[in-house]
Amino acid sequence: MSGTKATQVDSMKQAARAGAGGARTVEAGPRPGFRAAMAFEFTKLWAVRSTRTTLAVALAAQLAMAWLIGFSAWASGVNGYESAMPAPFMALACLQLAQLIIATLAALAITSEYSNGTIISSLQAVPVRSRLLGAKAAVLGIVGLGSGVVLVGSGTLVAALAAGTYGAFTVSDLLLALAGGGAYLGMLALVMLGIGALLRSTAGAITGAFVLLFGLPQLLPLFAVDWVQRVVVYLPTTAGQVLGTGAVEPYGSATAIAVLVAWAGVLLGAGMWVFTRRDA
Amino acid sequence: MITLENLGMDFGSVRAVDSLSVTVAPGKVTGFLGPNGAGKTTTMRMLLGLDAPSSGRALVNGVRYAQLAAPLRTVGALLEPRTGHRGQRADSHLRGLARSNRIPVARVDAVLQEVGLGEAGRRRIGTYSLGMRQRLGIAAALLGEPEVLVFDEPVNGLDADGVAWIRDLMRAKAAAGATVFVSSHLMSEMQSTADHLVVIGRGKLLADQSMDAVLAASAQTAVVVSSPQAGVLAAGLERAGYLVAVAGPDSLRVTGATTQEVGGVAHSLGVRINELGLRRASLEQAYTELTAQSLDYVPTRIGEEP
Repeated sequence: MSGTKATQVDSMKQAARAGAGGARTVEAGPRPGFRAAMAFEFTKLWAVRSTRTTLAVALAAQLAMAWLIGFSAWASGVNGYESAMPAPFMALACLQLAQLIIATLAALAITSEYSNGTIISSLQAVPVRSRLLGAKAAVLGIVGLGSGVVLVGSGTLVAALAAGTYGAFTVSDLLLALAGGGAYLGMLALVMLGIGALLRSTAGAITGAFVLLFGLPQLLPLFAVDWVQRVVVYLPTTAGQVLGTGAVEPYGSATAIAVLVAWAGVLLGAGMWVFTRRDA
Repeated sequence: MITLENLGMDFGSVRAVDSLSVTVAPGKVTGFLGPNGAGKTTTMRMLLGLDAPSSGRALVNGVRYAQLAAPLRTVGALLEPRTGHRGQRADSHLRGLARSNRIPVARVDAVLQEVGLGEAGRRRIGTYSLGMRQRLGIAAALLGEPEVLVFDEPVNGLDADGVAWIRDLMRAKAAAGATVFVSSHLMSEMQSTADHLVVIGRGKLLADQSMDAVLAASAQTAVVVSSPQAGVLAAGLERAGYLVAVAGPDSLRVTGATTQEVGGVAHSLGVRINELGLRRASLEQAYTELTAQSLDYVPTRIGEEP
């Protein structure tokens, strides 16, 4: 009840303000903008049970993989093989699996709206399409980044425990891996949102994720053609590894960031172009 | 207020909506009628900015839907009953919508109560029946206390109680000054709900009139009068220019006249009358006459503006 009263008061204030403004319709209450659209997107994403299950599965998979890699490093090490590797980089390698889950989550954020009809009510609430997709991108980017940090961080802990001395690492190793993993999954979420907005189909988007994350990195190196070999290193997976390990081959961190941003920019840009033009 | 200005939509070579110009006024329930495929849903989708018109404009309070500062606080619309993620709770679905337009979250419980979902609002949308989903869609439409309501076939899936409830709801909102624009294919339902009718057929406007005018224009609306001197009365009425038909041994059907006019003619002839009354056409009959004509329309070709 008090909420309604507050709205009335707001509406009177708004009316008073709008009175001076001109012919625009008076609408009660504060004007919603980008942050309101983000709150909307976050509510939709988090309220669906499958989001929480999916993220829990990603975490479980990450920890299991980290333990496996850490343990095998320890087992190899005690048997005299050269296997030591900083634990954060082990955790980063484990993102191979988790990235697919984050990619699916990001694609579903748009494709499921088409399959269950929610896009109609979303566009009624936020009819400015660039704002709606932009808010989705912001929320998914943050979720991707946060997931990357949490998965690398927790994976490092498990891998370090399993690997013992063979997983020894420095603080700068850890910070590099956290930043790299976060940036990689954040950008990947944007890439997948773009693909989802382009294809509008869950099956299509997930196929796209497989091709981009597994298919191309495995298949392209098989072509013994010069230009293919030069292009293959610019796939997002390679850039992600460079970013998280501080490698200088085939290129440095600055280039790796540029590569990821370019992938996200092109695909999200294309998705935005289509989303703002095509009928819902 | 809703304004459609020469609104048109082409799907390939099909003119789905053809130069509709209609104003839907506040304070009334305006029924939007037409056969399946007449272009009702397409018109409503263009009004909400979901589809871009091929020509013309659709405005709410003088602006395009996308230009509204807080659309859910101006327009409440029910277009698609199967909205919302199956795995999401109904109240959380509404909370998201409230946040998107900065509507106080307390409204969520209020509208759930208003549409009769109450405690069921805590359930996942996937567990809902069609009727419950329809009520949820209406709850979403009412969330921002909008002054314009747009409902596409709102009684679909509702039981008899639900049908009566939504009729009362629309009447009450219109009485409070709202603009209510509602499409339906249930004529008996519309007859007891709408004040004004917009009828389209094959995308073209067939009628934009008050309910009374549409019913009065029907050939089925007639004055029935019975008199022991029916023959004398019939001759007198025909002289006065009315269309008269024999309805029984002593009774006549007079088309194009009011009861007062028929009574006046009888009085001037000094003819005794046993019964005098108006038989109103049902909306169903009036609608059938209107849309039967629409079947004779030859759709205009693309590029040939009428």
